[in-house]
Amino acid sequence: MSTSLQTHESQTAQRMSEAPAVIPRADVRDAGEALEVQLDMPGVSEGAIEVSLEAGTLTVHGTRSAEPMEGYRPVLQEYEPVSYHRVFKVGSEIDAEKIEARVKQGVLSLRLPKATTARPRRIAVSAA
Amino acid sequence: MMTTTWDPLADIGRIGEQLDRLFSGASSSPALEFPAINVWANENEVLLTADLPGVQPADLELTVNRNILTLKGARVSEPAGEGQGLLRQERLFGRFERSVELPFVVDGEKIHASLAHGILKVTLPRAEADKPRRISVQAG
Repeated sequence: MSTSLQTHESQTAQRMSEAPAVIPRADVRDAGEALEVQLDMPGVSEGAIEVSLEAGTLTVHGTRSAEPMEGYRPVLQEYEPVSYHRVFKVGSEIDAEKIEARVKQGVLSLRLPKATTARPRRIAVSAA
Repeated sequence: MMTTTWDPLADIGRIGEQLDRLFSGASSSPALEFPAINVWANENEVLLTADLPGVQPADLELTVNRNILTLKGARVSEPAGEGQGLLRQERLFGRFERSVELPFVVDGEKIHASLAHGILKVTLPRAEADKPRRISVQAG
């Protein structure tokens, strides 16, 4: 089934030119006609997210804006401004033209509609 | 003839030790409490930011007592989050509570908090009574 969705082995690979990338936590659901993915990406706004689908691989990249804290000294630092990077294998049966992405309160929601051929079909059984 | 008894509990203990060893190597970044928090300060105020993706302002409660700030709230799963077809679930939901010690006593009346892009930002001015005072020294 094309709906099986694996995380890519190489997803820890980082873009060397940027701040260290973290792998955002994700929930993935098979909603029948589409795959739905939600990713926690706090600090990222609409313009700072790239979503691409190429050869059955979905790539999500987001850049978190740095917090300018001039005139302050750090007291407690539990996270750094980072970029987010994650790769999913989604197979070839996603309709790339119809992918929807929206970000709200630091959560990216993706809807990946399945190509018509990949959707579950109910087959009526008639009495012979 | 020598017999050895298989003791499954001992085996479990050994596996536990092995797991401890395995993970102790990765403990350089300790498991953080939720939410992750950054705190900055200067002489006059404290700035605090916390990662709270998907948390609604109405589900968040802040209380301050002298120099202790408490964040309390809930991350509510969207209705679509229930049900079937779940292939992977890594995001955490539910209630959280966390207290942070601030570097000085703050004025509870003048705290400003906002939530945008899943990040909470709190400005906490230092209490007047807590500010350092310069004492002029007179020649005796």
